Amino acid sequence: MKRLLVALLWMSAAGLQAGDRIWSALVLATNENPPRPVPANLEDFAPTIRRVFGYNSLYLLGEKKRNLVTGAEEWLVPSKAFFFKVQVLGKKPTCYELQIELYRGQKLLVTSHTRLARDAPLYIRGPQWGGGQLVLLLEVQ
Amino acid sequence: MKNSDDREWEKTRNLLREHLTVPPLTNPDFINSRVLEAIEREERPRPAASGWSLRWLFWSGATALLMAGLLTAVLMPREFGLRSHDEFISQVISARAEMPQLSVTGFQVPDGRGVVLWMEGVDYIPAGEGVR
Repeated sequence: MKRLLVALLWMSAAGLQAGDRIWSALVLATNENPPRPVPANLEDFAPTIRRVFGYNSLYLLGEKKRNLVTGAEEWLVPSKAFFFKVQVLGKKPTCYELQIELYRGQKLLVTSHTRLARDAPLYIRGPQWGGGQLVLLLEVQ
Repeated sequence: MKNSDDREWEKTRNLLREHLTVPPLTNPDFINSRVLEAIEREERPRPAASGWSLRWLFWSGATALLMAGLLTAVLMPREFGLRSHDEFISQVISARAEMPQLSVTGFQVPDGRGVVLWMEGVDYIPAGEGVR
């Protein structure tokens, strides 16, 4: 009974709320010995980046946050070199349907139709930069 | 000092005894019966609080909750149902590379709710070139 109540509370709390925002970031992932401390903003993402991309150190190169409004189009520019155009196609109780375009400068690299749930980020493996890997993040917060 | 106070008080008491008289009661029987009634009322054991009010509170609360649940189910059916775990997971529905040398694949983060877009074929950026 207690577990059911906790599950109910979690389910209701995890639902989308008015005033959701989308956060984007450009991250440099590298391998260093010893690993460098993870920046506070990236603590939630570090385990996945380590497991999926294989890097132990992270640098936050840029970030940007925008409101999510159904039907609206937002430009998210975490850096001058890489940025997103995000169109909100629809909102469901637990997620947003987004049309995401990733640009490098003037060039459109990727278009994606993605269902993004709250606190369940999208990781994009970008190009190699210097000795590391660029990773782009998008998260509904 | 105390002795003089005592003497004064004794004197006042004697004066009061001499001059104060009890007013005669006009209807002593009536007053007596009312006093007896009041004493009897106070001595009568009060009935123990029945559990009725608690039961009533419980059932009215339960009914209110049930009604709230029914109203929610009728007015907001989508909010009422429990959601499956899949609805809290991000998902790449489609992904398309917009340059010929690029390829892109989407997959779920293992043991996580996030999702990955894996791009291949993107040009290496030299360290001297700024990306910030």
